[in-house]
Amino acid sequence: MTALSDKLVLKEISKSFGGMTVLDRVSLTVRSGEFVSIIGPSGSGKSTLLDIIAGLTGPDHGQVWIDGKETTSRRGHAAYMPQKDVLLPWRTIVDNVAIPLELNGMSKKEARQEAERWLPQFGLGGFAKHYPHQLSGGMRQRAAFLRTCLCKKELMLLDEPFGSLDALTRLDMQRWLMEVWQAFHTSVLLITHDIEEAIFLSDRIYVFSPRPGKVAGEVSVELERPRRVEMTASEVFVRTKAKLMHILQTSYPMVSTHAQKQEWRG
Amino acid sequence: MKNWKNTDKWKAWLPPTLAIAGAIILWDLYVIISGIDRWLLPRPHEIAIELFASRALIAERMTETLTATAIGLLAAIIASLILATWMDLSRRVRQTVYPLLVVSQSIPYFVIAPLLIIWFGFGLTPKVLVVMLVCLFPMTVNLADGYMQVDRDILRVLQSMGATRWQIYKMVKLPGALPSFFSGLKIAGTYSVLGTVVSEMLGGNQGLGILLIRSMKSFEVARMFATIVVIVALSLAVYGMIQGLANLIMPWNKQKQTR
Repeated sequence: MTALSDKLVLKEISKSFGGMTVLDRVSLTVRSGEFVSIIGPSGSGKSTLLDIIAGLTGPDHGQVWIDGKETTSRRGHAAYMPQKDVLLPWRTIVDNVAIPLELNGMSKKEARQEAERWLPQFGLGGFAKHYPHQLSGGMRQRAAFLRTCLCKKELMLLDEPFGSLDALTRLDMQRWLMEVWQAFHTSVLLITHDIEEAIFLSDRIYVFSPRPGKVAGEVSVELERPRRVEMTASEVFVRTKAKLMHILQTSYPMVSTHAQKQEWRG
Repeated sequence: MKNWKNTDKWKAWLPPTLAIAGAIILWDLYVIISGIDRWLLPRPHEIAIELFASRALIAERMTETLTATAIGLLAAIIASLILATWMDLSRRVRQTVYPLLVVSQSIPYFVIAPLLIIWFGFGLTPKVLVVMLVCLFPMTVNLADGYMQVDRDILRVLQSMGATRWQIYKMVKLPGALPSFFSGLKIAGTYSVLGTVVSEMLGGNQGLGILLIRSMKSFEVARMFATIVVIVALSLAVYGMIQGLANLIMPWNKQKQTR
């Protein structure tokens, strides 16, 4: 049983590949309209977890529940966006964005019309007929995000969507994602390497430990909405960051602080 | 902008034109200086004169060769689409068909061609079969590999959206494999003309191959060379058409290249 306000519930998810445990009894919840992040170093199985939620792979044990129904190994219940923008190079921006609409049975013409309406709000007005390689990284990512939005699912899974962007563009995209999320009122599960990004965007943050990936801790972010860039210097922000660092450090009992930093970057 | 593009095109054409012109001049000089017999090696302009003089005959033979090549190439395109897609859908089919394709490519087709004529008669069929035999391997293998190289993340995103297998082929796999399919088609297209000509030489009663054999046997070397020029020109034309078709079907690919 899951509570009515729960959008996504994971129950004791475990997964191993070739004898190596990647995920170990992961349980977590995303409530309706909530923005939740998972942070953790490489090797904590975060991407595998998103695959399992999206139904692309099945878990060895455990269950996925979305909207109070079990959806383990079933696709099409969540909108999924991987790290790379993965736009189809042979489709123009508008036709790329229209893909989920087409898959839902809309005619190509209708789908294109609806997609075209959304482009200006995503900073892509006037670029409908461009091909992806003609756009900047940030614009491609926005197009990929619009495509994810047009899946019209109330749960979005974002796998390091800003990981490949430069620092300034990333900051821009984070602010912009906040606005879009507030307008759409979807539930978001975001995977990131970036602690500050996680704090700035999220209501709650799960910290994963590596090999095997499991939940090492959970932190609520007590910053009010709407978030502003100045908040990144606030006391609450710094305190939350310290809490997260502490959990990360204690989940690496065997390595020195220096080695931790190295692995964190890698 | 337009001007710049034109000079750029001109620059690209200049070196090959110069190279060919240079080769023709060297050839002519060699014939003059060495005093070699004309029936062994004619001068370039004699070939041009012969080409013009027997243009009606050559055009007729060329049409016959071109028909067989076009039918064979088209049949090979359809067969390779079906075969490669089937191989992509089933691992077992892939494992079974792949070695057969390699075998098909290592069969000396100039030995098979006379047999095919005995089995199927002098008509179009044996020629078309030889062209298919020559073309099937590069096209099928390239398309099958193209399918395999399609970005896995793109497939995952579409699967997560609930796309069916057919939708994934239509939207992702087929367009994604098109560039490698076309590079296979370019190889096949260039071979195809020669494939037809060889099968005509080995026992046809039509086409440029017959013209080649007859002029060889009657020591009409100028006509033989004129026929060779036509064969080369045909192969180039087929190549050019395929390239043009590729640019037409894949505008995104062309834009990427010229950037």
